[in-house]
Amino acid sequence: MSHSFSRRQFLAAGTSLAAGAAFTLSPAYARPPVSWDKSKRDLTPGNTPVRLANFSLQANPSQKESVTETIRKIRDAGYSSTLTHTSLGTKNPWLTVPDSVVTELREALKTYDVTLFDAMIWANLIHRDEKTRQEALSYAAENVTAADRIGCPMVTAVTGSCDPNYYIGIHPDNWSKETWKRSVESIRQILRDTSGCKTSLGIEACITTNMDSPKSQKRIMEDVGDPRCKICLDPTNMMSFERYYHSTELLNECFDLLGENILGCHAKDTYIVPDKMLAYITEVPPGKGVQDYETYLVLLSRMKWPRTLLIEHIQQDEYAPAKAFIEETAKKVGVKIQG
Amino acid sequence: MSHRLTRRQALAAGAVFAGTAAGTASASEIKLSDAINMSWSRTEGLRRDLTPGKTPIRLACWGSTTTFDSRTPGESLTEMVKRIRDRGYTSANTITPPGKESFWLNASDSEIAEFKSALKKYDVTIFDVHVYVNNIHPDLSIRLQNLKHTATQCEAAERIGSPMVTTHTGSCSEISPVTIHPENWTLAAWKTSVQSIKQILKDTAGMKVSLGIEALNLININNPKAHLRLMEDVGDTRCRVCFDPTNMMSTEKYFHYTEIINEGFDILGENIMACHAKDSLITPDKMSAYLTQVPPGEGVNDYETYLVRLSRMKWPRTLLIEHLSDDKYPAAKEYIARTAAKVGVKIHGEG
Repeated sequence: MSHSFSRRQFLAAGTSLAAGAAFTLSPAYARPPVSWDKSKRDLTPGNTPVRLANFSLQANPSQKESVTETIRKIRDAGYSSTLTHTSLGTKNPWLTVPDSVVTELREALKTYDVTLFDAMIWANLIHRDEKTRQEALSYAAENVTAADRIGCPMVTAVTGSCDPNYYIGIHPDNWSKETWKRSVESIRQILRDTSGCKTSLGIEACITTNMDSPKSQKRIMEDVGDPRCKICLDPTNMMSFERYYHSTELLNECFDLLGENILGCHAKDTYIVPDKMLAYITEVPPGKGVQDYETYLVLLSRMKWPRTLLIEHIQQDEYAPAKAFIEETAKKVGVKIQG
Repeated sequence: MSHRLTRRQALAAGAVFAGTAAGTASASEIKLSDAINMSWSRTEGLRRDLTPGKTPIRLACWGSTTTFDSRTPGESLTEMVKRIRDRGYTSANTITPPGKESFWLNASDSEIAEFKSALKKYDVTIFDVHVYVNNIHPDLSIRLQNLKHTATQCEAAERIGSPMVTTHTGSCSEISPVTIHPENWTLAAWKTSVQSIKQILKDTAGMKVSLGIEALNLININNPKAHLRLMEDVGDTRCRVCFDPTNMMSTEKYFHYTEIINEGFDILGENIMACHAKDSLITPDKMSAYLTQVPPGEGVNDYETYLVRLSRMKWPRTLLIEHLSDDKYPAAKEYIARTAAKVGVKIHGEG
């Protein structure tokens, strides 16, 4: 049983099939375009230090210890920044603690030179079910109000997804104009409902949603048209197969386009598993993937005031080596880590 | 502690930053279509032509008991073929890992005759002798060993009447044939790929068996055009295609299976010697795009279009269900059979 074609038949088929298709070599093989030349990077550091935070060391009110103790422990662990997080469906405890606790928090932060950079939320701000969306928006607004009370400059949020079950689930309608409009409307509503607050909403990218690139982040700020719509930068969340070897360019584009609107940053890394036939794009600890941390830290050091770099999404025993990697990299490129 | 900018400051800053960004749009120039990857969404108004052809599809399964390597102690070759057929499959493949002796090359003439006779008797085809090596390995001595292995498998395939040996071009990484590497898409890697395929075909000149190149997203053969260009550059009619659209998947193509399948069949046509049946799913609860392989029907692959296109081929192609645990193959097969029935495509040996 032979199914081979003659060369003539093969070429004839190719010719007819290729009609309308441009078979230059470039589109055939050059995916993704690769420029792995790191020699052209500008690694001139700035003078601004970077503050490090650890997702597992949060400044949430606790029955077990005083807030001063919490902040001191964070500082003793080698971090000069922290965050707070309240889950959807739970009232933010910083809204109900006495004024004295808030005062104690502010004093402890000052005493130990720790900043509270973020009151992160996880919710689908563009949920297609209007009731669910409004609940998410109320949750966001409540956390902005709480953040404002404790002097936290940012509440980080993602826009969300058209997936009814997962707030970051990929969905074919996530990149539609309608979804974009709903994203803009939702963010505007949160900011309107919290008008008078100083706290900004830091929009975080997520590759499976419409907020998946520096340009989308820039455009959302413009369309929302409120100076409190800012950015929590997470370049790892922008990683796709085609950007895999372009971390340097991605970081440069982020800082070029978004600049001082970046209020805080996340430290993760991206790794495509080597023995799978698909692009298993996984999150790994900083230093274990292709993220260009030298450029990342240098660009952070050129900001006007110290930004926080939050290490997150890793196992407890992975924080210490991740922190060490960032510190070693910072030292290598002449960037100061605060504290 | 407030680090806010006024709206005026923010806009002014935006203009300054944008001005420093070489090749990036300034703030006011970012179109919505540039800001969000609208092309990632499902194509609006996409029309699928689900008119089936008359050619049936043969199903194969890469389970532990459904390949031609699944012979149990005491079982004859005839009994093995019958067992595979009894499990509902009318096609199968075989693989010999590098460093191991090929059973088929060592088999006696009578065993080969028995095998061929059993295939005919039970209406089962051998569609593929699979090879999993790095044909462009960066270490030349290893590459040459790999090319030799591929050529040896062509000899085995020729002996047992398999029309195809499936293989990949490979990777510039030393880790595996499928590992992503920044140089996989260079012109040099392309040339090496062409040279390697030419070498294998030259070393097996005179044989009828084709080399079916299988795509992998992490290497240079990761789209239909790459397949066609490789065939053209190799310039040998024995350089063909083992079509696997799931292996061409990436985030930006995720909702475009239909287009990928149509492009594959449109430009590769009868050069597709066989196909693989898998599916893709990006896990919904991760912030990175965890693009995973799942059983057919559990992801976003457009199996209706896939099966219809297969049914329009000139002779029956094999669709190999693979990369599953044994317990998941029956459901996968059932899904494919059900989908085929829905779109009017005949599965060989069923109904």
